[in-house]
Amino acid sequence: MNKIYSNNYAYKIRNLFKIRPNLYVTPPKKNKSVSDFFYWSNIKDFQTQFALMNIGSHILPNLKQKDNIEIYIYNYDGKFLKKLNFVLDDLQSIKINFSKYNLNGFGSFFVFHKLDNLDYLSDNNIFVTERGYVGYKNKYSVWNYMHGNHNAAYLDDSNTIKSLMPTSFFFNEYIPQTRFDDVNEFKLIFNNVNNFPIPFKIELYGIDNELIDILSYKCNYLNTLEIKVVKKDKLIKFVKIKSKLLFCRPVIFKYQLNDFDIYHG
Amino acid sequence: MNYFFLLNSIDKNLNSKIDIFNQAPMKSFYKNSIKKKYIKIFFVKNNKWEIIEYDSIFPYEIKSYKLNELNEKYGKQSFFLGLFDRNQDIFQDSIYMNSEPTWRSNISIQSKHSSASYQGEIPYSITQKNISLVSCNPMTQFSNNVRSFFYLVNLFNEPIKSEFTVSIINNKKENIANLKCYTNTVNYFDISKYYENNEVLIFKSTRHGGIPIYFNFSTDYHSLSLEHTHPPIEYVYGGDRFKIQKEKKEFWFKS
Repeated sequence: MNKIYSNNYAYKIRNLFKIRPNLYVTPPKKNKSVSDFFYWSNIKDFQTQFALMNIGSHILPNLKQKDNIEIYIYNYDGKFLKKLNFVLDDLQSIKINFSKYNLNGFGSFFVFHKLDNLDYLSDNNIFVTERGYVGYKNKYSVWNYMHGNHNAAYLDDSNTIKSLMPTSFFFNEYIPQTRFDDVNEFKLIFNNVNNFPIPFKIELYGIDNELIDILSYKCNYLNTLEIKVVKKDKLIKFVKIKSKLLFCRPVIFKYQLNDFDIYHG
Repeated sequence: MNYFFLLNSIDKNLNSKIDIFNQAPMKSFYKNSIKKKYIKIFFVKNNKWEIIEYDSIFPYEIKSYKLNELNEKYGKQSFFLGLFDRNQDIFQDSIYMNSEPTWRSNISIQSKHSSASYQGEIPYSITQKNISLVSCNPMTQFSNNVRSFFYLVNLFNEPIKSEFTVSIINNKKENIANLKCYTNTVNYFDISKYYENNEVLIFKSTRHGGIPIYFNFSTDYHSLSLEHTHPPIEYVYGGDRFKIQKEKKEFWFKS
């Protein structure tokens, strides 16, 4: 009975009706590679870098195996731009700078790892997941790092990207535990790994907890949305995000006097 | 139950701040009710907990505290904070902040030009036992114009400052440096020079652990970066992830 209640179909139903919901679902087959859907931006002098590591060395270090890595890169409206392949030796790490691959604009990307020997993980229903470290910089700034945010998707046998981010029939509320009244301008960055559009609303609250504005958006499959909020006099104290995605946690980008702050909400 | 902290200042051009929100991130995953709480600030002084009922916080309120203000009042300390009931002991567990996703605060370092932050917390569970540390840091950057610091924030329920060593090794398992750390302390070290020729550095300790945080900033203080590393279990998803964590830690501890 427990098995029936906890299989992926049951999870889907539970999440749709928000009955004991889960933040993520599990890939239906063993040995699948999981990745966040990471944000990238290469506009003018702004650059993105990914710290790529042989993930096998970090989860099964005694096996000493090569890591075959595939990076799938999409632009802001979900257009597939490029697939990058890397093979890293045991314990090897490199930095991938997006500006070296003729990538302009912004969007999101996946990093999937393929290890030859996954027997131990498979036997224990464990999946490799890439939620690593992305760096962003302006021309004169240091690399400003942020780690991955979600177990967003997995790569199936036919190299199709499948979502692990559940949705529900109802709107769900997510409140980043951070304040926004220390800046005049900020961006909330969202993307969508589900193969249908996700509607969401952003409620902006002022210093007396009063509702100031409601912004409505829709994010299509593999799209990335940068929602810029500009309010003079640092009027916005906090935000509520209401979405049919169960766990709609954005990347937060705050404009600073000389630079920027970026972190996941 | 989660705890929060302020990062100690490296120099007078930098200050740190914490924003605490009395609101769970997702109502759907939160089983308790939000109520008025008391913000207690605490630190170890003369082998005793110095506990200050510093402020109160109403539901949906955000409170911010800066290190320089606390330093003026209480001297230079490693400050820890939490949301408590008035009579609650600081190490008395509570379900109030049990939340999925985790209940966090915004922890930042600021200069007059910029600010860098991350959403962080210290889980109650790691204050109740001696934990070890393996932190693999690929957020390396080496330049004459960049300074890099390692923070290790340790909070343990016994009010003592016990010394322990964190070793820095490279991915060939060669020892780079040993850092002297203390429990119940926001430890920090300049690690700029160790980034030269190293894409990854591993910070490890068998005796005690904590929250490993990496801070980079430009020497003109115009640009700052702050992020923690994931614990080893975050490289995998599903199943018994602690088996993986154990194997990884044993691998690095052998060197």
